[in-house]
Amino acid sequence: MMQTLREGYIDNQHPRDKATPSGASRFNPFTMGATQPTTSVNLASSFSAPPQPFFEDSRPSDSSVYLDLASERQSMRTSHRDLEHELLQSMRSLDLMPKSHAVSNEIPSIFESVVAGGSMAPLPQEKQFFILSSAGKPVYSMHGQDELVMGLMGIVHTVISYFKVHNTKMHSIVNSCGNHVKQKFVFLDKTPIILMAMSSREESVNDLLQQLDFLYSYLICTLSRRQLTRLFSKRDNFDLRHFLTNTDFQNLNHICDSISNGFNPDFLLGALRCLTLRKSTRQTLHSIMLAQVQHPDVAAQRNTILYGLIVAPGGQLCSVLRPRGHTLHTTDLHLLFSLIFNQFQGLQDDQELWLPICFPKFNSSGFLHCYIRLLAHENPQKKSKKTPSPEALEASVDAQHEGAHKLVSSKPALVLISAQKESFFALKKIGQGIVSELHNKNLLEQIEAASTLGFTMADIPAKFVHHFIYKSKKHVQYIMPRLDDLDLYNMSASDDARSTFSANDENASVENDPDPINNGTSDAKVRQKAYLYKLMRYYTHIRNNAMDESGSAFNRSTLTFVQWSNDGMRLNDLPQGEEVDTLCLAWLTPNFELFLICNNGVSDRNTILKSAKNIVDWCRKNEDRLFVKNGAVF
Amino acid sequence: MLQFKLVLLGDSSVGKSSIVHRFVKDSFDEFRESTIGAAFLSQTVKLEKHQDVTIKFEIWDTAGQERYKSLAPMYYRNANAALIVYDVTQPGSLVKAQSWVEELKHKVGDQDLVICLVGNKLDLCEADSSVRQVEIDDAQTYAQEQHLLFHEVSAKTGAGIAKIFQEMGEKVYERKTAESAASAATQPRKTLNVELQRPSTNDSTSCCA
Repeated sequence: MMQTLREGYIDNQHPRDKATPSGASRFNPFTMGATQPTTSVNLASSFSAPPQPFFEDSRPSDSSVYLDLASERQSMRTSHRDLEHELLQSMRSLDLMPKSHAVSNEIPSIFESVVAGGSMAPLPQEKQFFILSSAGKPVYSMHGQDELVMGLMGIVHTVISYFKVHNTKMHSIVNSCGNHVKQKFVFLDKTPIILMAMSSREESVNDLLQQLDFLYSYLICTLSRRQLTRLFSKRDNFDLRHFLTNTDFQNLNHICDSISNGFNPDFLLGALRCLTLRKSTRQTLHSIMLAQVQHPDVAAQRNTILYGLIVAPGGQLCSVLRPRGHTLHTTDLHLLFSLIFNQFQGLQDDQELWLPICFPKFNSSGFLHCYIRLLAHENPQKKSKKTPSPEALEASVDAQHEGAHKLVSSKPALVLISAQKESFFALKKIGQGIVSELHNKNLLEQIEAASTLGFTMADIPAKFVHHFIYKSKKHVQYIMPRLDDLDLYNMSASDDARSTFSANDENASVENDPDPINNGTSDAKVRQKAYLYKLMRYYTHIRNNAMDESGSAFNRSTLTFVQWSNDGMRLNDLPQGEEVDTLCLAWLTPNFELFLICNNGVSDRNTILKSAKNIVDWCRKNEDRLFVKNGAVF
Repeated sequence: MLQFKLVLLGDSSVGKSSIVHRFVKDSFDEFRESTIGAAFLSQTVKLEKHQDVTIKFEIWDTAGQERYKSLAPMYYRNANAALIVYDVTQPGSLVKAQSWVEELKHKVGDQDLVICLVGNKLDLCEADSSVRQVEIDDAQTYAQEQHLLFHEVSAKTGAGIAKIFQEMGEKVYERKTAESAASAATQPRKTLNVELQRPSTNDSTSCCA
């Protein structure tokens, strides 16, 4: 089934996209990213897949009714959910649900690949990361397959040497076929370590470089640059694999997986996600930390503490304690959060961790020492025992959610950072002071509630917007609406009687799932993962349409629409009976970056522009709630 | 309550964290992540030998990986008790344990420190005796020569775990009471607690130097 999907831009001047050889449809070009945002591209040739897997969109969601319900849900929280079910059921029986194309609350899947499993090529992956030593010894390969990878090391090494000999600034190879980019190979030479990334997705060279830098930063964070250099100074052909431990490889696997298959705007935007909190709550957090640090006993021992952080599940920043004039680099914090929320979740509540860590962007040859403690809410049973008010239901759904993703931990963490390896007990004392204050003021509950509830699209007067990401450049932080809006109904299918919405999904399986599971929960997990992945690729795509390969915007301020639409396809030929007509927007200015994805079927750009403005206004107005502005400065 | 500092040392993946976990939570996790840095936690023990005496262990569960070795002095300095763990199926881990014993005797001074040598993963030998690589007699002889307490345990089944901490608790308690009785006359009201806070050194940047 070949579909011709078309992608256009607001200033579309080159309608030269109609005919494209269908044979090339298996590969991904990102031609538009490399050229100008005025190019329009035939989608069929753009992506590896005819947009076949619409399965996950197969609920009867193509209805404005559903949308209205969702947006009113906020205000209707007190009413019983069953009422909604009944309402929907009666509407269905009356055949009120519009069957034809209307504004949908979902976004279509256009990035899915059909290659999976089909190709017999030895390294069929869409994405690959290699780490090797300058002598050509393999250190790490994302997909394993060592025997295959070994042979490639020589080639990678040769390419790097070529770059070196020719002394170019170039560090990438783009394998293209006509207009279409098949793969990008990006190299990062950090002698004695070489890193390479391969991608056949819509990532820019700069994106891939950032990803490589993060992998390299992980190595530095555990070894430090000084030790790395020393290891290789003895012998060029030192085998780093013997020095790294299982934990390191697991962490590298985890990082690669979360970059490649997860929803991780952190890497894409180079920013931290911030937890939405009341201004007063955040202020209280700041002042609690500050009070402990400025306590006479502590203040006497200067330089004991460098930084303090309270971070909510998923690496959402709550509060920062820092010395005047100093901040921590985003990459360093990403590394720290990735360790906390992937590795230390087995930590008991009363266990405290004293961790030497090298922050590569802070000082790549020295170690800092982190006091880490998970902040458990006092009564873990409470949540599940609550009467099922809508909030509680949502909360428990969220909890399941987080169980579904190992990425997301359910406990916030307190981190105190010192330069002195002997200061554990000093920090422990500060930490205990902070923790008991947090308990006294019930702040942990608030953090927890905020991290599971967040805000939704319904909180913002932005019509037709499915989801958005807003990054404040000044704060190097970003925010986005809660992600589980859509699947909320499906998720509850597992602990509830089958809801209306899940009825159609029972036999649906998601592409790439080798063993389709009809069990409600696992199905929902898979669907949620696929949904997040889809969202991530949308964002990557729209961001790279507003930026060149090196990651800088085309203009100081750029506003770009990207539209995907069916090109003269009959409705019957579409898997869902729903047209693809998706509009996205990227708006970059010196102060903020806004990326938004509209609901399927929205094509009124003026309305979207208005919504975008409303979002920006809303974010600015609520800046104190949305971002950690100064933090607690001492 | 009397507090005592206890440190766990030993090669990586011999089961230090599992022993602590068994002691503190009385549970076992087959797939434990290896420790990075060190984890600190405390647990009280009611002494059986001495009525109404409860002591508190402040436990440093250290990482066994070689790269964290240079941090070890920070954890064992001032310790009242050390648990040196090896894996009965890994002869190399006993060698490593012996080098820890040497280091402790050298750096800490024997008289202040109760050292217990612990062979872990006994459950593996019970299932199949051929996997045992360290004979109990060899380890025991070594422990006697060095005046160490000695036990073989299994963190997985829990066998022998409580006993180690009970015995160590009694030992450190007896030493402490003897010591404080001796010094009571000269230094009344001296705090019974161990000194936890150390003056900081300026060695701020290096971890694995």
